[in-house]
Amino acid sequence: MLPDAADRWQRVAALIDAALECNPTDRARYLEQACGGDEALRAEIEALLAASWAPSFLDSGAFVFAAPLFKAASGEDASTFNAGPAQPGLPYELERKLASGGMATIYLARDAKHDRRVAVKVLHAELTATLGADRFVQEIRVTARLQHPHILALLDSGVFGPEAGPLCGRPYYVMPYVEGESLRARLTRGPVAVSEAVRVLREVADALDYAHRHGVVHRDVKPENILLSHDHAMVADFGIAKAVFASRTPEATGEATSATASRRLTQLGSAVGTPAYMAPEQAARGERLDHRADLYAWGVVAYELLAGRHPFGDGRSPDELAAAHARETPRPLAEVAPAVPVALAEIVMRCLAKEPESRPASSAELIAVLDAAASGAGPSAQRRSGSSRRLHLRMIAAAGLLALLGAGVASTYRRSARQGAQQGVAPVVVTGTGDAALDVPAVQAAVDQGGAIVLRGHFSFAGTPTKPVAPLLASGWYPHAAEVLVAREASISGVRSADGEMTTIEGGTIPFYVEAPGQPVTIRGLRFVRPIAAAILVSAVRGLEIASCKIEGVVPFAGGGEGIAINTRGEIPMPTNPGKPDNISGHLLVARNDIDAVGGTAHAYTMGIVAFAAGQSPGAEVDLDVIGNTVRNTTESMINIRRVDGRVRVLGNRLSTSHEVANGGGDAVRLVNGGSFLMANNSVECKWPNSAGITVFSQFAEWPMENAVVEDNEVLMSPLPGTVPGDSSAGINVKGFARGVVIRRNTIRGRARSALAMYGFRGGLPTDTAFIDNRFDQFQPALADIFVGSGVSRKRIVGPGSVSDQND
Amino acid sequence: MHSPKGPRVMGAQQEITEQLLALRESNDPAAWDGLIPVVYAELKAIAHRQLHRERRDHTLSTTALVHEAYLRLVDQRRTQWQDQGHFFAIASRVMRRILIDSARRHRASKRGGPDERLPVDDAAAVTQSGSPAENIAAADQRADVLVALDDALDALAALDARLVRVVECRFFAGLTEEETAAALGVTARTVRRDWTKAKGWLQRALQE
Repeated sequence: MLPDAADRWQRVAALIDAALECNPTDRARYLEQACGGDEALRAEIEALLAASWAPSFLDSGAFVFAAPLFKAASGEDASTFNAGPAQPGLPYELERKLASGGMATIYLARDAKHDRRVAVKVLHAELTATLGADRFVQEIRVTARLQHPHILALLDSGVFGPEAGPLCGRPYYVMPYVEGESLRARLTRGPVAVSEAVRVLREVADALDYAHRHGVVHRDVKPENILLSHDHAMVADFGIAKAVFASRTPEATGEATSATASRRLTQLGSAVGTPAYMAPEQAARGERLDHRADLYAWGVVAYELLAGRHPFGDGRSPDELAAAHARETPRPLAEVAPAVPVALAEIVMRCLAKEPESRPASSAELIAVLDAAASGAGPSAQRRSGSSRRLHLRMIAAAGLLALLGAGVASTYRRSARQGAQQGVAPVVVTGTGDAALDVPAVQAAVDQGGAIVLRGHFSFAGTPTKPVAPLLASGWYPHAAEVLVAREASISGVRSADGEMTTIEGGTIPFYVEAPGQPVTIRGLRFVRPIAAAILVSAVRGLEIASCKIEGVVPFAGGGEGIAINTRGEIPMPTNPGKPDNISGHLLVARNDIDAVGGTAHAYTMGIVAFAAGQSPGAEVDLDVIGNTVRNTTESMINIRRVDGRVRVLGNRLSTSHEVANGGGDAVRLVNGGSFLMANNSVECKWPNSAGITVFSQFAEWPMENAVVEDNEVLMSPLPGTVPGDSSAGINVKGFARGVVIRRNTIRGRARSALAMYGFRGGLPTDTAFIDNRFDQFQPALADIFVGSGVSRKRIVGPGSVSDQND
Repeated sequence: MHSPKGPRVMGAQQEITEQLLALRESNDPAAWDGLIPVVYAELKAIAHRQLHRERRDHTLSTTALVHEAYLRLVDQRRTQWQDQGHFFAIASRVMRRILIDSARRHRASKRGGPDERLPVDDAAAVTQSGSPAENIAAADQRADVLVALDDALDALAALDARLVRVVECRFFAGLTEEETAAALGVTARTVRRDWTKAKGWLQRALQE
């Protein structure tokens, strides 16, 4: 059998060699003759040839391909090259001791696997002796699920193994290393301004509210556990006290309740809560705690922050403090600190109530009061009692609306965005609830105020759209209404939560529609999940930045959908119907967005970035920069720019189409109908068999393409094996009314009818086209490397490649 | 196989250079085997250094790895042009061994049953600089692909051993057509045809 197989392979190989020497257009005919009616042989050869031209991991270098093996291994053992089993003992290199507290020692460490600095907290040996280490690690997992911008995330936890030497058997947990100082350190530096205190307390309350809603009680809220980093408060050690408490060994528990346990109790006591901040019920009972113990501790911190001193005075022993919490009533905060808004002073005192039932019901109540304090609302408004007020507060808390962080109690709420930016006024923050009925109006209200708006958390925009879209657009490709209308100067940004999660906008029919004539708009750092029609549609603006957004899926509306659209026409602009290009002017930046346009089909397309009919009035040309974006899985163009008057730069984008193509074959990138174009350093993968990777053209004599430059791009044409490249198939083509287009130093790989093409289209012939020093090393043309259509004159071709010129 | 000049203490560069010179004289491919262990160790060390550099400036390159190895391990003053070809021929085989060994070790270190095999295209599409979890997933997939490739190459060797050598040079060592031609003593045109056949055959074998 084997000699037979080798014989047959020799025959196949010889035929392939001969076929490869043929002119590509003659290849099929040659094989038909050479195989002499052996259809199986011919099919095998054609399949092998098709497979050899398909893009493959073999086209990359093996070392680059295998690099993840070593990266995955290097986390476990960065000092050797071998990919071996994980060494569970020492995943972190401890660099130096940062601090030592009542419960643990904190080390600055390097997390080799992720190449980042982390803080590793190692429980004290004496504490470990009273703990079930495994139980501790199990308990702590609950808190690992907490993800919130003001909660310091738990990255990892475990118990050191024998490799760790003296640390063997000690539980540890790992948190991000945050540069900054603790609130304790801040307090010892001097008094804290009321506005700053309000901001910190608001953020801590926000963290508590989130954790409490997830059933996690901190149990050890104190200034040492509140970290300040870049004017941002983070609460550390969530749930650690609970984990320590819950994982006490029976001996420790027994001892703690025995008569001789005072020494051990103090030791454990410092671990499961700090006497200076411990609610009376926590000191007395321990186990049966609820979130209101945290509200008490928050009250103590708030008192200390606002009054500049602890409610029960400093310099007392832990036992004395515990007794004071149980029996003494602190002096009213309003007396000690008259500058504090009355409502705030009142609620701090309510938190300090001995009985949990007398404290506020939840952190949401604290947040509402803090927001009112921050926005300078009058104290009397906050004092009104009754159900209407409570409902009002709940609504505010639910929508998380309008927290003017750091604005100071005396600052006024209304201000222009520009003033806000110049004077460093902090942004309006809106927190998502996941309920479209709350989220869309909340964002709209903030956007209507203009200025800087920060969105955080998870928003649902999946409601009925109500904001009308301009008739010209709605009569074309777009729906009649959108979710949020941006009608004035605004800068809308998302934030990443502590664990890196982006602000998310779920669903929605055009979540953001920008019609802000003469005003600048910025939209940055938002994650859109399956928006309908487009994530962002811009029809009027003066100056635009859409950056660092992520779009995950696009749902086509009436036949099509787009990731980001700048469009004043609503469909393809034509000289007889040019749209309203004057509505868009200034610098337009679309940068570093990541668009996965999955969701399109052959009948309902998706595109990535669209800019149609912008900047045409004299003196109002635009500068459009499309830079560093990633677009993939479109079934129509990934970048489609038509009739943009001004300078257009398309630089450093990474683009890859879906295998499926709409409209019978679009083009992966289209630069159309005029404008001064530079397209450089992009990588374009086109998987369609009858399309151009990049096309530069005009179908209208009125709007010729002039002097566009396309250089240093990498174009990979990768139609499925077995598909035949169609007549429109080319890596880069120039067609129709085009003059002086330069295609230079591009690399075309893969398989297409030709790598480069220039030809007549809709009555126009390109002139003065230059193909200079392009490379086709790994390219298999069906026709030739370069195709020149009939009638094309005044061309310049320099560099390698076979040429098929219809005029020769 | 031991060096024909007997055991002695010398640096890796001197030893490799001596062996290359001896190889030029004898033209005995069996003499290559003596070079493999030392080239293996040195290439691994260079790869290790490249990986560390790569974290800073993203310059990982298969081609650069083998060229750096040549510059470091061979005394240029004593060699002629054909020695570079000989060295690349050895280095490409060694690179295959290093990477396949790592892939097999990676798979062996995974607990539980054999992982589900992913289609080659998916594995190739996995990003290289994603999150740690993505890196680990990518590592698993790539280990699978490399081991499958190694098996396929063994099968291909039974049909046409030269195609395997071309794959070792082009894929495992990142050599150009011309360098491959020099290393294997054939024309660049032959390399191109062999590479086409090898890719087609391997793609089909891996998809099965």
